[in-house]
Amino acid sequence: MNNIKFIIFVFLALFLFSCNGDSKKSKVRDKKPEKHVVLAKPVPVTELISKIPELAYYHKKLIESLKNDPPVLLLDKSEIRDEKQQKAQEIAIKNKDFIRDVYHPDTKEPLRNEIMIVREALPSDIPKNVKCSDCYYVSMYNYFFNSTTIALTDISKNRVIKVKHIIDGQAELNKRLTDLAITIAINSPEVIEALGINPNEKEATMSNVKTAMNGTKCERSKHLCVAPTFLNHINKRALWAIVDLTDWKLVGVAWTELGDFEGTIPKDKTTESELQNEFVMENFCEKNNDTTFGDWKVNYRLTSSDGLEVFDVKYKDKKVIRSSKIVDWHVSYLYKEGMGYSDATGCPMFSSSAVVAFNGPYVEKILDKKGKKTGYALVQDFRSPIWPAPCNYRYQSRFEFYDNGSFRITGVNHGRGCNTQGVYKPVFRMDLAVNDGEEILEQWTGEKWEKWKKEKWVDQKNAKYTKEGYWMKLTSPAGTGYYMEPGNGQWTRNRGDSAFVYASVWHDDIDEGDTDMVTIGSPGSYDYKQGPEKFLNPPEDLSGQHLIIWYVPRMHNDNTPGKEYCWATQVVENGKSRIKTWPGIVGPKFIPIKK
Amino acid sequence: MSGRKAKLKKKNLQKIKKQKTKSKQQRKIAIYIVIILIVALLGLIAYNLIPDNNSSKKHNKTSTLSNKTIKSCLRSPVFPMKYGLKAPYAVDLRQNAENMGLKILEAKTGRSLQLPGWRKFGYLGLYTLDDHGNIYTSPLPYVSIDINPPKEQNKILIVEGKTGRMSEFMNLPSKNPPTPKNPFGVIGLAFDCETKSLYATSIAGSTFSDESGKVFQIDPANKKIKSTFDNHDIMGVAIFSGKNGKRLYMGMARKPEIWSVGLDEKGAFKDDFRFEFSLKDVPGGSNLKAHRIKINENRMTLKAREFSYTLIAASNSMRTIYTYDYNPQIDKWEFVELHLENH
Repeated sequence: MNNIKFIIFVFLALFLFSCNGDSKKSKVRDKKPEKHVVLAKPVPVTELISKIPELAYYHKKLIESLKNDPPVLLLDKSEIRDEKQQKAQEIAIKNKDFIRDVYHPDTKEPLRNEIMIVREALPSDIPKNVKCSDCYYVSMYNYFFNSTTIALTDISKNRVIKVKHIIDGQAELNKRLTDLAITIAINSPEVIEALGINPNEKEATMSNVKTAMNGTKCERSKHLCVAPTFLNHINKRALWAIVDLTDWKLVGVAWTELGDFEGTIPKDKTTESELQNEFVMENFCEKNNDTTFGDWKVNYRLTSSDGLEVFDVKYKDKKVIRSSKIVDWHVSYLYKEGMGYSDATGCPMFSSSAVVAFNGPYVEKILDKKGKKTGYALVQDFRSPIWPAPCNYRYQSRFEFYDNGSFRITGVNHGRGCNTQGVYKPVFRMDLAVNDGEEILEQWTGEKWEKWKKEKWVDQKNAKYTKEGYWMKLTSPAGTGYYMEPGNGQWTRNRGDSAFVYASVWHDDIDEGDTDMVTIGSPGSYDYKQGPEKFLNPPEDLSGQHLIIWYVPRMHNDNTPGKEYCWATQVVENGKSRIKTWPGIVGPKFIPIKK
Repeated sequence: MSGRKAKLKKKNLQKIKKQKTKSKQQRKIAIYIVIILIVALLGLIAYNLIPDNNSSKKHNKTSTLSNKTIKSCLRSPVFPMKYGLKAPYAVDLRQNAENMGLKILEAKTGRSLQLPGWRKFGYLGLYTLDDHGNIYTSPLPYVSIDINPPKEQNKILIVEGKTGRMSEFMNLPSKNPPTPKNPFGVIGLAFDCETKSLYATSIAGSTFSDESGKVFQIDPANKKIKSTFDNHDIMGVAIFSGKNGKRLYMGMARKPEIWSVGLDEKGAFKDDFRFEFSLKDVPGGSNLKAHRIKINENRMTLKAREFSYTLIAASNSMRTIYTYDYNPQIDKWEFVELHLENH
């Protein structure tokens, strides 16, 4: 009996012992601290270079390396442990296969390449049946292709034994980049603010090289990124910073209030796309924001599938726009009639959008040809994940507010779609506020203004313009309001709007786009059947009504060298990849009517 | 008499002595067994605690150990033969502007068959076969929701193996009604040949703040829901019998992770939901979600993509294939490699 008791005791103890480990693990997993995300504000590289001497030195070395043949930034003597490592590096960069991708395959421009690691090869590095008596591992990262090349060198025989190219693969970092990542992070206002103090570099708990490589990924930009992590014992905050070592910038930070949490930093690794999505969802998605530029006061929100919406916009305290947004981007291809897509733009998560918000809205100055500021633009970027790869898209909602009270509602298309026969048709819904009640829409006939009496649509190809370029005007019964000037090639990056204009009656009790709209129209059609026509049937009388203006421009993409339009491509700049775009910008301008 | 008594007494004493010796021996044996068991158990625990630095090499030698593989009962449909296609066939569910719905391809020639009615449910997602050659699939929105409205997405469709007729098999319930903010419904499908259960994952009605997805265990014979696994948004699923029994492996929709839950002898979900591995924690890993899982001979192949409950405009969107091998000695999956689908 005693023996049985003993056996039960042993098994029970073992069982409890084994369970204890799991329960600890599960408690840690359950006790997840609250997470906050912040995207970093862009800082010009020149500013950063002037601020961080280490970066200035590194930048100088990189520029010099581009003039070398091969263009490879080598590990310098302080990073090389002995002569054998030095020899391994020298053997590798003389090998044709190892330096296969150091120049652009078409333009032959030198690309940015950097030796990351030189070390004795581990048994796992050496393939079976390969004899290598004095074997060294050399890795090199290519910033243009976001790829890594590894060489196994036998320094006793002065030759490379094997070369491996890893596409979309990031190498372990060398010490100079590891240090640089920490320096960039701790010089960033977002890191300083999130930690609540100016962090001492010694406190930075940068992941070791391997962990850092596993720690994060810039899957959208395809840049070399690393995640220095910081733990502030005083404020009990743990911070995860994503540093982009291709463009030398902080992407953003994710930080957690640790509370009573003791120990190491939570291993909830955050990547570039997660950081961007969470930040946009937390701050902008279906959340009302406002901003002021001079006499303009603008409310805005990122919608689920109608892009960026501005609403209750005022100029000198007078309401100008009740709501304006792009409800769809229709894309069709000329080579196949009727085929097309209807791309909704909107929130990056939980939405029926197909092209989603990258980062939040931002404001930029509008300058005239002499460089004088004439207003501000509120811009929101929407992208497919791997744009500008073929069949990927990038659109922008851009609202321009000028100091003189005029404004322009635009859609920007950065291409590049599936081929060069694409036709892009953003569907604008514009609810202006020239009057709370009755509004009058008139069209210039070439001689006089003619009032629209019923709901209808017109094609810009038949338009007549005043000498100022105005096509229509929207007024109150008192005559106050705005002229509408469509795109006719008079503005930068505009080849004419080729627009359809529709006017429909706004109804208090029927939702014809006041709230988020599902995709409308036939995206494959080139004619007026873009969706708004369904609100014109049967045509209602416009007199005495508040109106909704629908505006659907058409833009054709073009990749002809020197004439690119709605197009994007990847070019070499300082040895790394830069996306060059030739945007097409469409949309009407509204100019206040002066009495 | 007294001499006889004394003889008997002596005999009894010898018997008792013998019995005592016997029980002593038995006790000794029992103690030895216990000691052996304890040593074995401690050894096993110690083995499990030792970090495995060379697992991939070890795996090659041990991959067939102790785990019971499920014998496949899945059958190909017979209807393609009626339409002149020669086996083997492939189910083609590649969806794009020019290809919507289901197609059957003749593997050797690439000749395709699309019967009337195979486009009526719009764009489709993944599929599984059953033991009668039926094909189960589900609608899945592609670029926009005009062809695949959210309220129509929580359906399982069946293509009958004998006739090729496509129809709605079941419309599954959801905690919250579907909305355009989450245009998805049924995503993953798997068939268990042992319990003849069809498993379907659904994220219909799940919102940013309320994860209310379900996995359904369905009896295809009577279309009854036998059990559900609630409040988890799951994409792809696959069934695998490992060292400690049968489990349903799940690609999570909200995080780049694989979790699993045990299945009992009737195919119902056990209460042992557990983390398996993260797609972010491997070299080159990223924030991708496993939307298709296949397990074949101890090898798990995952097709992962960016997923955030939105639609896709890019027809050339990223797909990354992850490969893991099962190590039965530690009942864990070990990373082998990953690569882009097009490479």
